[in-house]
Parts: sequence; C-alpha cells; structure tokens
Amino acid sequence: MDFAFDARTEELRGQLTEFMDSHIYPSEPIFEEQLEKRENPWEQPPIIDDLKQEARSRGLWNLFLPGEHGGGLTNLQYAPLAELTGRSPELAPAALNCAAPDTGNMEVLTMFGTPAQKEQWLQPLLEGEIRSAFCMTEPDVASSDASNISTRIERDGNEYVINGRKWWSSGAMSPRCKIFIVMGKTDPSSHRHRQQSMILVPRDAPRREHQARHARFRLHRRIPRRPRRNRVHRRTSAGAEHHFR
Amino acid sequence: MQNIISGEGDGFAIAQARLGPGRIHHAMRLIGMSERALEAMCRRVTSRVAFGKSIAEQGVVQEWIADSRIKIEQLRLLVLKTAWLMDTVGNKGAHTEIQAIKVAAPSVATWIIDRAIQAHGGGGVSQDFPVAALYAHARTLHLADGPDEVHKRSLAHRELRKYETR
Repeated sequence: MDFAFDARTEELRGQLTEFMDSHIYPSEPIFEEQLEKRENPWEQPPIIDDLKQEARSRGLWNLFLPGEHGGGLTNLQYAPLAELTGRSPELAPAALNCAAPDTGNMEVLTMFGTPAQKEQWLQPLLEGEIRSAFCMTEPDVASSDASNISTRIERDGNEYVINGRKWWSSGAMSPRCKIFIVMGKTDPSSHRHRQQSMILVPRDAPRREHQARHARFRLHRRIPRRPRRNRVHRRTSAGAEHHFR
Repeated sequence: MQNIISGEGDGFAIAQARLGPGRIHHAMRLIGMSERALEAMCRRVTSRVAFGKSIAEQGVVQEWIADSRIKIEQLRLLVLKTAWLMDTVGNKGAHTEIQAIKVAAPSVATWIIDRAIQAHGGGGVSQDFPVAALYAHARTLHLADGPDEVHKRSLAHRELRKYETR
C-alpha cells in the first residue's frame, strides 16, 4: 500500500491551496454581502464570475471530468482536490466549474450524449457559460425509491409531451440554468428498471397551450418569504431554501 | 425526439452511472467541510476564556477535538480507498464502499460541525462564523442523492447475500 499522493496530485493540491488562500477565503465576506444585496434571490452573486475567470486562468478548471474534455484525472487524483474545495462549499466548487449538479450532468452528456447534444449543451457547460439542473425528485412520491418517479414522458408524433411536478432540482431557478435533465416514465408497463427515461428540456422549451408540445413541465416553485437577515443558508435551488432561522 | 438521452428506458441505468463519481465528490467535500469546522473550533476555543481558564483546557472540548480528528482520518482513508477501487475495478466492484461513504461522510461532517457550533457558543448559530451554514449544507447530504437508509438497505442486502442458503 502506498498512502502518498502522486506528483500530479501534489502539484494541483499546491496550486489549489494557494488559490483558496489568495482568492476564495477573502471572497467569502464579499459573497455574503452580494447575497444580501441581490434583487433576484436565485441570481448568483457576481463574485463567482470573477473567481471562475481567475481559476480558469490558473488551469484549475473542470478537474472533475476524466478524459480529454476535463482535467483527465482519476478519482483518486481528483478526490483530495474536492476535499480542498469543500472547505468553502458555496464558492470553490463553482469557481472551478466543479459544482453539482453540473458535474453529474456533464458526465451524463459526455458518456451518453449524441454529438448534437454535446455541441448544444456540454460545450457551454464545460465553458462555464450556462448552468443546468437535474430533475428527478418529485413532491408527490417517495423519490428515494426511484421507481416511484411518476412524471410522464409521452411521445406524440415526433415530439415528447412531459407532465409532472419536480422539486429539489438544485439550481433550476437560477436564470443561468438553461437546460434541465428530466427523469420520467416513457413506459410504465415495462420492467421496473426500464420504465424510466431521461430527456433534455431546454429552459425555453414551449410551455404554453398554443405551443403545447414540450409543455406542461412545471417546476415546483417554492420561495419562502422571510427576512433576509434571518437566512443562515441560501441555495439557488428549486424549493431548496433551508428553514433555519 | 432528439432530446432523449441514450434511449427510451435507459433512465435508470443513466441515473446509476451518474451517481458514482458524484459520491466521491460529495464525500471529499464533506471532509473539507469537517476540516474547516475543526479548524474554526480550535481557533474559537483557544481565543476565549470561561470560568477562569481557556475553553481549550476543558476536557470535554479536547474530547470533541480528538474525536473529530480521528473521525476525519478514518473517513478520508475510506473515501480514498473507494476512489482507488473505482479507478481499478469500477463502480460495481466498489459498490459496498460507495454506499458506505455516502452514509459515513455526512454522518462525520454533521457530528463535527455540530460540536464546532457548540464550541462557538451563540456565535455558532450566527452568520458571523461559517459553521452554521456548513451544518445546513452537510445536513442536506444525509438526504441528497438518496437518504442514508436507502444506502444502508442496499449495503445490508449485499452483505447478507453471502449468507443466503441456496
């Protein structure tokens, strides 16, 4: 057994530690201040953009993603870097374009996306230009059992019509979120593990009656009203405001 | 039509594939959060005095600090082993360990952050220190990507399979 990190990991750990010290920790109070001041409670404070630019210029970018599109690291190499970003969980993962749910969504598009899907959605995600959401959990069923997920994805000619309610779709309410990966049932009569499909739903997909087709996919909006000063923790998530007072 | 990912009926399999590396990321970030909380706890207790002595000299506080360090070191070894297994034998071969870190990491983090909050006194539940926000974050990870109980259920099933009579 060898308990040491390899040379590449040590090099990146050094660079990341220096970035945390010089940029991330000093930005935490600025982030807090900008959260207080923002008009739209789902908007990301502008400091994140500055940090993204700085992280990227230092090569600390997309390190989570194996292969040519990302840092090309193994899980064992990336793990200690994720630990360092966890020290400032609101800022560091986003600064490095390594924040959930985009990371998982980028992995899905890398592994399963068609060339057209990759060009349209993976590329802007890798560039950090847009954000994404993963819509699986539903308020009406115990979603810990994924076979309960009951949003319907039905084919109608060349299109899909999606009907359902989702919540805890982290990031979905952010105006930067341009694409939802939605899980739902295409064939409720199939084998238990073959009923579900995942579909890409652009934020601007038609949602009104006269445009109807991709329609009626509703995001469950729950924005609790309470004094801003009382908020201990804020997340730009659909229904994901925490009720700590 | 062009928006379906992979194919109809593949949703469950994609969901499984999606969550493998994410478990490592969440678990390691929780270790980072635990380290941050432990650091905040140590700074706080060495900077305040109560009942005539430094809070750091209280035996109960030293026990929190020692237990926190022990838990972090144990957890980090488990998560790194899991990462190594995923790299060498794949997600399937690392099944038990992946389930284990999904439960162990939030458990360690919320325990340590809770002690750090206590060590801060009233400051621990304010916005003036990072520990309250860290707690809120870590607590949700007992639920996000599947609650603890689901992972324990799955882990136990696999463990019990060895003893099934044919």
